[in-house]
Amino acid sequence: MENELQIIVIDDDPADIVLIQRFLDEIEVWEYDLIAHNDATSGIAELAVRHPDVVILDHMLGSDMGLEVIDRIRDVGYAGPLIFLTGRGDEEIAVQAWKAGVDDYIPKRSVSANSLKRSISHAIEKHKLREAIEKQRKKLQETNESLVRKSEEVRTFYHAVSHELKTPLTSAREFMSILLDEIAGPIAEQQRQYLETARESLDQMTYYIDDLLDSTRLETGKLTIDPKPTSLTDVIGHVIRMLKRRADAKGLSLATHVQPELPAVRADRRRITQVVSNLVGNAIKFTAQGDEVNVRAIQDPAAPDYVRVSVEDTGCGIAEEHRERVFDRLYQVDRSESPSQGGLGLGLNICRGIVELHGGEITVDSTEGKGSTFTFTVPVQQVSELVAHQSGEES
Amino acid sequence: MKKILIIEDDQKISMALSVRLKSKGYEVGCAFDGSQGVNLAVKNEPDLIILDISMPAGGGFLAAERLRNLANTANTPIVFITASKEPGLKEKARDLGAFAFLEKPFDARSLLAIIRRALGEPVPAGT
Repeated sequence: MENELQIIVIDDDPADIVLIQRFLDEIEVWEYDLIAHNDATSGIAELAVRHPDVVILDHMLGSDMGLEVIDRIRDVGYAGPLIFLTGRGDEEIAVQAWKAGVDDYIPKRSVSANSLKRSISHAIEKHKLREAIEKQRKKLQETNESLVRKSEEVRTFYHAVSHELKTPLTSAREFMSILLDEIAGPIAEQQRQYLETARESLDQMTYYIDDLLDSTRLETGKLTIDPKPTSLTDVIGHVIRMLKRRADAKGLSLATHVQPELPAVRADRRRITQVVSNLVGNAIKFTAQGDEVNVRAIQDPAAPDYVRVSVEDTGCGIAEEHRERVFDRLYQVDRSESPSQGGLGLGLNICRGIVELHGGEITVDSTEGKGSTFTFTVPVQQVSELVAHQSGEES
Repeated sequence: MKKILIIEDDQKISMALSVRLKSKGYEVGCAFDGSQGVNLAVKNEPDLIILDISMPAGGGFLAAERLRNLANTANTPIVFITASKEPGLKEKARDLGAFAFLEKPFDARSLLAIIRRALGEPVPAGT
C-alpha cells in the first residue's frame, strides 16, 4: 500500500474492534487509519461523506441485519471494497452477502493478522477488477449503441436518397410515357424507339436505386422475408415473360426446363422473383448474341427437401480466382477486362442474402470462355407444415 | 365528368398526372400540400383523390385521416402514391382505408386501371 489505508469498521461488539485493531497492528507493512462505528446508522452516515479504502461490516448489528445494511451502504453512494464479518460457520449468509455485492468475508472465529491482510488485499484487488470490468462493459455498450445509431443513420440516409432520386425520375418517366402514348400528338416510329430506349434506361435506374436500398438493408440486418407456399414454376414463367423483350433484342433464346409437378417451396414470392430475375438478367447481359440461356428447376435428388434452380449462360465465364468473390458486396468483373457491362456490383450479393434468409444456398460453376451456371436452392414447403397450419386455423 | 383531385407536392409529377388524366376526359384539380388538399377536397368533393405520402404541411397519411373524418370526403376513394420504400407504408395505407397503393415510378396504365375500378368504370382489356 502506497499511502495510509483508510478503514471503517462497523461492528457493535467493542471486543471485535479491539481484535481487528490488534491484528492490523501486527501487519507491519501497512500504515492504517481505522474509524470504528458501533451501529449501522452512524456508520452509514459517515460513509455518506467519506469513502475509505475498505469497509469491514459485522453481519449482525443489534436489530439491523447485515444484508440490509449492505444495501443501505450502497444507497448512500459508497461503491468501494466491502468485507463481511460472519458468525460461526454461517456459510449461507456468506453466500447471500456475496450475491449482495461484498468483495470478501471472514468468519469471526478465524480472524488473524494473516486472514485480515489477505482479505483486505483481496477485496481491494477484486474491487479494482470489478470496476475495470464494469468500465469495459460500459464502453462496449456505448460503442454498440453508437454503431446501432450510425447504421440507423445510414439506413435513413439511403431511404432519403432513394426518395429524392425517384421523384424526378417519376416525372421524367411519366412525361416520356405521355409522349409514347401520343397524348401530346402523333410520333414517328423512330421517335418511338428512342423514347422507349430512354424509358428503359430510367427503369434501369429504378432497379439500381432499389438495389442500393436492399443492399443497405442487408448490411444493417433489416432485410426481412415473408415466406409462404410459392410455386417456382409460376415465378420462373413470370420472370421469363418480363425479360423476353430484352432477350429478343439480343437475339437470345430463353429456354426453361422445369420439372413437371415441381413441389411448392416455402418462399417470399417477391424476393425469390427478384433472385431469379437478377440471375436471368445477368445471363442475358453476359451471353453473346444468338446464343441460349437455360433456366432449370428440379427437386434436388441429393437433398429432396430442396428445389434447385439453375441459370446457365454461354457468356465469357468467370476466372477461377474470381469465382469465390462474385457474391461479395461491390464485387465486379474488372472493367478493363470486360468493359461496358455496367452494374453496381450489388445484385449477386443481394441474391445471396435473400437465398440465405430462406435457408438455401447459392453457388456458381463456370468454365472460362464457355459460360457460367448459377444455382440456388429453396426449401420445399413441407406438407406437415401445411397440415399443421390448416388444422391450426380450423381449431 | 368525374372529378379527380391530385394532392402531390412535386409540381412536375402533378402536371404529368394532370395531363394524362385530362386526356382521358377527367376534370382535374391539383393541391401541393396536405392541408391545401383537404380544403380543396371539402370544397370540390372529387370522385377520387390521388394522394402523395411524403409532403410538407402534414403528409398524405395525416391528410387521409382528416378526409376520413369529414362527412363529404369520408367515402372518397384514395389512391396513395409514394417514392418512399420505408417499411410499413402499404399496411398503414390499407389501415386508412386506401383503395390502392402505388410506388413511384408508377406505370400509367396500371394507375388508370386502378382509377377506373375505383370509379366503377369499365376497364379496357389489356390493361
